[in-house]
Amino acid sequence: MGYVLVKGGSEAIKNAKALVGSLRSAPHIKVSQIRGRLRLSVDQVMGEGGLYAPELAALAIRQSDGDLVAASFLIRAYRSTLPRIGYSETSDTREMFVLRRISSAFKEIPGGQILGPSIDYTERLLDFGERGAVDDDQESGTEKSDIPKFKKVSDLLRASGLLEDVSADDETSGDARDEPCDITRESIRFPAPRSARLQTLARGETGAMLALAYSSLRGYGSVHPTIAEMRVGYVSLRIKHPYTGNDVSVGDVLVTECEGILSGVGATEITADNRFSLGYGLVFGQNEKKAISMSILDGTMRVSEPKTPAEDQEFVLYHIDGIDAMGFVEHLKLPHYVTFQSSLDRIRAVKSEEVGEVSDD
Amino acid sequence: MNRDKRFELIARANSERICGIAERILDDAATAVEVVKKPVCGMIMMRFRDTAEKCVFNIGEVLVTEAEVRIGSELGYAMVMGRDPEAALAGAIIDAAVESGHPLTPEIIDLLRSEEERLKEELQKRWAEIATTKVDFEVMA
Repeated sequence: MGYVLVKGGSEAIKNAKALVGSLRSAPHIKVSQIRGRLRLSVDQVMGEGGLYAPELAALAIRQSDGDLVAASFLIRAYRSTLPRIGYSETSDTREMFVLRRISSAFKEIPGGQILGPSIDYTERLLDFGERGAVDDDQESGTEKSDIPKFKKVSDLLRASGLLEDVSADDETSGDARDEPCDITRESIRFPAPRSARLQTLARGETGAMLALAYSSLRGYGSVHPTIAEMRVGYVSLRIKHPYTGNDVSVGDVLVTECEGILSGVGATEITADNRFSLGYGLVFGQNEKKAISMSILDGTMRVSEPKTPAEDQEFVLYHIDGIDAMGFVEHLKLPHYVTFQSSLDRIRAVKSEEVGEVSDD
Repeated sequence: MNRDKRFELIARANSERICGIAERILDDAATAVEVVKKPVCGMIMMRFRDTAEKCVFNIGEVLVTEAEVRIGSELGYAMVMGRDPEAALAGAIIDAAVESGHPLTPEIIDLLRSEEERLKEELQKRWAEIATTKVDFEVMA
C-alpha cells in the first residue's frame, strides 16, 4: 500500500504555534539570564547537541520553552549548517584550570580535594527565600595566588603498577588506525572502536546514560566503580596557527571528567592480571552525572561477553542519543492514518472470518 | 610579542577594545585593508586524549569565528570562540596591522599586554575563591 497524500490544517498549524507563544505569560527572558542562571541546562544542551556554544544553547533553551532535548535538537540542526573548519590539536585534561576535583578512592591526593562550585554536601530543601544571588561580601578578590596544575590520581595509580598497562591498548575492537573515528562523518559500526564509543557517549543524552549506568550499578551488569578522580574545569581549545604552524590556544572550554576504577564484581573479568582498569568519562560543561555515567558505560561495554543491556555496545550506543530517541518516539504523533487503516482492515478481516466460521456450523 | 602570543591574546581580549582600535585602522586613509576571508562562523572538532587508555577521540565541536585580511603585503588572521564576526574581523585587522608596521602598533601591543594582565588577574582572583573550597581533613581519634 502506498502513502496517500493529504493536505489541510495549515491554518490550524499556524494558530497552534501562536498559541504556544501566548502561553509564554511572563516577561521575555534574556539569553544572558539563561546563561547566567541556568548554567547546568546550558551545559547539558551543549553536550547533547554536540556543539560548544553557550550563547546559542541558551537561545535554544528559550526557544524550546525549556525542553532540553528539543533545545539540543535545535543545536544539532544548526550545527549541520555550519562549515567544519578542522580538527583541534589534542588537548589534555592535565592542563586544566581546575574549578573542582575530588576523589572518592583516596582521602589524601596531591593538591588536595577541591570541592569547587557544588551543592553535593548541603541539604536538599526547597528554599522559599530569595537566594542564589551573588554574595558580594565574600572575602576574596584581593588575594592572588599562582594557579596550580593538578597531577592525576590515575597517573599515580599507574606509577604504582596498580593499573592495567595501556600500551596493550584496547585493540579488541579493531581500532587499529591512528586517526580517531568521527561519528559525525561516518556512521558507527559494531564492534565500535574506542574512539567512536567515547564520542557517542560524549554527546549522549544525560538521562538515558544515567538510567543505563544505574542499571549496571543495581545488578544488571557488574561494574560498580570507585571514582579515582572527577574534575571540572577549563581546558584550552588549541589549533595550528595557519601562518606559523605552531600550537596556539583559541579559548577555554568547560568540561567534566571522571575516571572510575572498575573494581566491581566484574573487575576480574575485565582485567587479566589482577590490576584495575579505568572507565573514562569526559563531557562538555559541568555535567557530573553524565561524566560518571559515561565512565561506567565505558567500563560495562568492555566486558568480553555481554549479558545485560549496559554491557551491549549496540544497545547502549544506539539508545543514548537524545535527538534520535526523541525523533523516533515523537514521530508517533504524526498522522499514521493509512498504516493504521491497514491494521484495522486486517483485524476486521480476521474477525469476519471467525464470524463466518461460526455461521458455517 | 610573537605572532602566536598575539593570536592568543586577540582571541581572548575584550571584543569592544579590539573593535575600537580596528576601527581606527580602518578610518586611517593611508592604510588599505583588504578582506581576504570574510568572517565566517564554523566549527572546530575538539580532540582529547583519554587519560585511561590514551585513546584520542572527538568530544564534540566548538563554535568559532575566523577572518583573514591583508594590509599591504602582510596577511592578518584571527579566530575567536563563539559567534562574533566583528571581533574576528577586528582581530585579523590588528594582526595584519602589527605585521605591516602600522603606526598604531605600539598602542595595539599595549592594549594586548593590558588585556593579558587583566585576564591573568581574573584567573588568579577566581582561583583564590576556588582555593577556599579545599578540604582540610581531620582524622578522628
